[in-house]
Amino acid sequence: MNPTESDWHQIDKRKQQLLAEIWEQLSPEERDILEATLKIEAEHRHLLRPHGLKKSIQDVIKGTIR
Amino acid sequence: MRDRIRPPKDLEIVLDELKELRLFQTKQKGMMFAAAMGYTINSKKDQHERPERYGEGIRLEYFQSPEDDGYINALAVAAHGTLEILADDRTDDRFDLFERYANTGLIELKRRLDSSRHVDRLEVILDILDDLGGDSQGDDSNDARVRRLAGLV
Amino acid sequence: MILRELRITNFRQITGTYTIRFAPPGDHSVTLILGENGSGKTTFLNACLWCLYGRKDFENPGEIISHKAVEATPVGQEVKSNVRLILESGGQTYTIERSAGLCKLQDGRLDDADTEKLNVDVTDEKGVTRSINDRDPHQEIGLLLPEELAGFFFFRGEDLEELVAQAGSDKLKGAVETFVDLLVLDRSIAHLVDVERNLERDLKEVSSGDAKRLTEEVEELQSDMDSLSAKIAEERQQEKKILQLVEEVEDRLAEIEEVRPLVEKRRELDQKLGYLVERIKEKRGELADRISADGYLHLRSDVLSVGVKLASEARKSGEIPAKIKPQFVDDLLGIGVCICGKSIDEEARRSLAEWRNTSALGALETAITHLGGEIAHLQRRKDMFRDDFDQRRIEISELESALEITEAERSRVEGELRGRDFRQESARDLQAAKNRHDSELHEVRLRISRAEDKLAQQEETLEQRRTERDRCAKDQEKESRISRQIQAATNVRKGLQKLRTGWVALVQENLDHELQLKWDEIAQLPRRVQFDSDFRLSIKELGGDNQWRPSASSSANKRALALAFVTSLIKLADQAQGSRDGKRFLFAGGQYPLVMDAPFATMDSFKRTVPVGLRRTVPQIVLVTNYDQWQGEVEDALGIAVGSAYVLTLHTPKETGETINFRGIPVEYVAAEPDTVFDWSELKEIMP
Repeated sequence: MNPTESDWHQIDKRKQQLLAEIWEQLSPEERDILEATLKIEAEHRHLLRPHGLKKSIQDVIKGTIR
Repeated sequence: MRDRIRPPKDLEIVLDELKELRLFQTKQKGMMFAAAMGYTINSKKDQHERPERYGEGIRLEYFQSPEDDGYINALAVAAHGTLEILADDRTDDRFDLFERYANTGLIELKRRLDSSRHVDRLEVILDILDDLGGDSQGDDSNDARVRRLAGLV
Repeated sequence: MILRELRITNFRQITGTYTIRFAPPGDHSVTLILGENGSGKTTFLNACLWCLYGRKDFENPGEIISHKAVEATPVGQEVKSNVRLILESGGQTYTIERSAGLCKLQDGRLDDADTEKLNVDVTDEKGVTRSINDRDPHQEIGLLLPEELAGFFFFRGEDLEELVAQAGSDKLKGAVETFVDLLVLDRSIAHLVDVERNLERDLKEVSSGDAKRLTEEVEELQSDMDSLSAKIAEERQQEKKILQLVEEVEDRLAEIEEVRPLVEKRRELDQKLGYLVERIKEKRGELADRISADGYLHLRSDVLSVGVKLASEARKSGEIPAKIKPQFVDDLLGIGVCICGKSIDEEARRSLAEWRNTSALGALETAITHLGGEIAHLQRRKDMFRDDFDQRRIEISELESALEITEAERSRVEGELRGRDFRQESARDLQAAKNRHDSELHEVRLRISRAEDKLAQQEETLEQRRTERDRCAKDQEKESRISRQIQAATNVRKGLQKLRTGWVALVQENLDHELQLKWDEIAQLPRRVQFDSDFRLSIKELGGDNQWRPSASSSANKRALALAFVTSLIKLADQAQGSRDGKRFLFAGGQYPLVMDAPFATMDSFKRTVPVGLRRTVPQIVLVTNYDQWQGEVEDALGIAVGSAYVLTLHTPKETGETINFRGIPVEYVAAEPDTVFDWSELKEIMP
């Protein structure tokens, strides 16, 4: 099946649009925080019990908003 | 020159109740309705009292963002019967007038809400709109009334 | 995920070692396993789930190893149970093997050591095999098929019905969320909530005065809100339990012939009432919002007309626009010299001042013009409000009338049910139970509604306190910084929550749409099926009055609906794989088989169409069923697609033997074994 025609592809596109709308409403610093948070969580998703992620995210926020 | 409009302290509870019940989304919107009510009940400006005490003021920007601030000026012009009330140095007078009409409106709102505790609150507001609403021009008012009646049968 | 082979050794009732080679996708993609009731058909399903997940959802979960195999093992020796599943996914072959071996003790029991072992090997396209036991094999299996989704592809017929019941909505929601893979989002949100709390605590430590007080209030509010949210969640669980009970009672009542039409009518009316109540609430909310925005303009007055009239008069009289701006005259009077250069004497000064006094409006020209624009705008809002207001009130009136009529009809039906002299006592008891549950449900819903309103108010108060606190903190650098950090964390968290809700809704809406298509394909009956935003499955049919009303809650309907849902999920999983290639840790998606134990048992009219529909949409079907259910319509639909077939021969002391006929060949179905102590089964291939 051609992925560009599939329902899943449509869902993915709309999800992206949703994120774009949310992004629009955030300030530049908040965008940085959102990006960093998702990156941190994605990098450690394989861990069953992730330790230290909270602190990492908090450090990002403290570093971004001075 | 003032930059806030102050509700009457003793009647602030009415604005709070209307907001909690989600009948008016903000206290500013409650004040608009109250002031318009006050004017509809009695347009003569000298017959409206100032509150004894004032509550925390609502900044003018809260009237500007929903574009309601024009009404404050229009109300002042209608009450005074002259455009000179629009002068920059008469801002305090315009605000003062708005507050006095709102005071009257809140007194009436409180009376109606208190006297019909068993009635759904939205119905109380709808009754006010039915009793005091419509245009002062005859035709429009009749049209609106006919439309309402048509919905009931 | 395509199944290749299953090898079972001494698992539960199945004694010995047997290998099933599954029919691959294609024209002959059905693997048939025939077995009499009690021969271990469900054991076959349980073997797959035990192998994959170590799951033991059966009676006596401690007894995995075949009793007959234990009996045949000498004391002191180990007896083993083993299930090995070979499957393909993403171009790789997975060999998943789980075993349990226990030593037989003197008294014939087995020791109780935990000896279960799992081994997973992966062979790539080049034929290179590696073991993945150094990593977490459970996680590897989860990538192939998360355990939360397994029940949609490996199931008994009666499990299907649970998906359509009230309690099924949690499972369906869980399935969608697992499908979407919300791990990163959910962790981000949870961690951000914790970060917000930490920062609040930091703020409390550095702040003083009003800011400190407000921070403490915020903390207290958050704690109250947490408790309230937990309470709401508990009440929602309670609501679900009661709804489940109501559904069970209604199902039982519906079985009672004499009351079925009334019970169905009442159910239909309940649904209609629920819908009307929601709509009225929604409409009233919208009306209140309109009144809040522009209702004040509707009140009778000349506020908008006076200003317009005065401005018009001023224009007519020439006061505006001012030919000479009063400010210009003021400037001249200030300088004392006219533009022509002549000095302004006393007389000229008096004339100018007089003119100046009568032309005050010139100085207000800008304000007057501005007011004109504002009034025009307000007038437009007023006109729109008037039309909108009337229309909305008409709509609410109509809905309220419909509600009244529906309530009256429901009362009448209820009265008939209550007042009925039931011949069967059970019907009376059931009705009484239903009345009790309805009452409890009403109470719970009232509590939930009050708690949710309170939570909403607390949320608003929280925002207000934070805003006030931020204002106080503005002047204190440290406090201000932490406040801004909290705000940023909150905004990001809310954005992610919105993304989560929106994304799950996208998948739910897609499945809802696909469900109707799949239903039309596999059931071929004119029904409206739905997978709603509460993750509930429902099915409606067109009544004599041309209105859609809920279909009878029969086993057949439920199974058919659940199968339509499962095939929708299969389609989406197949599409998802294309976009997930290369992403290491997401649920891989792809093709999925259906492994079904007696799915068509109660499907009556659907027996002809559903199997055909499934064949068209599911790449690989494994059907475990008894011979009676196979013969007839199911065999007509699927017989031609059988690629491999087996029989589970039951050995039992309890019955006489039985032979069945499979494609002209006699096959031993039940073997009478008077000397055996236990029932046991063996698997035989009856068609390569």
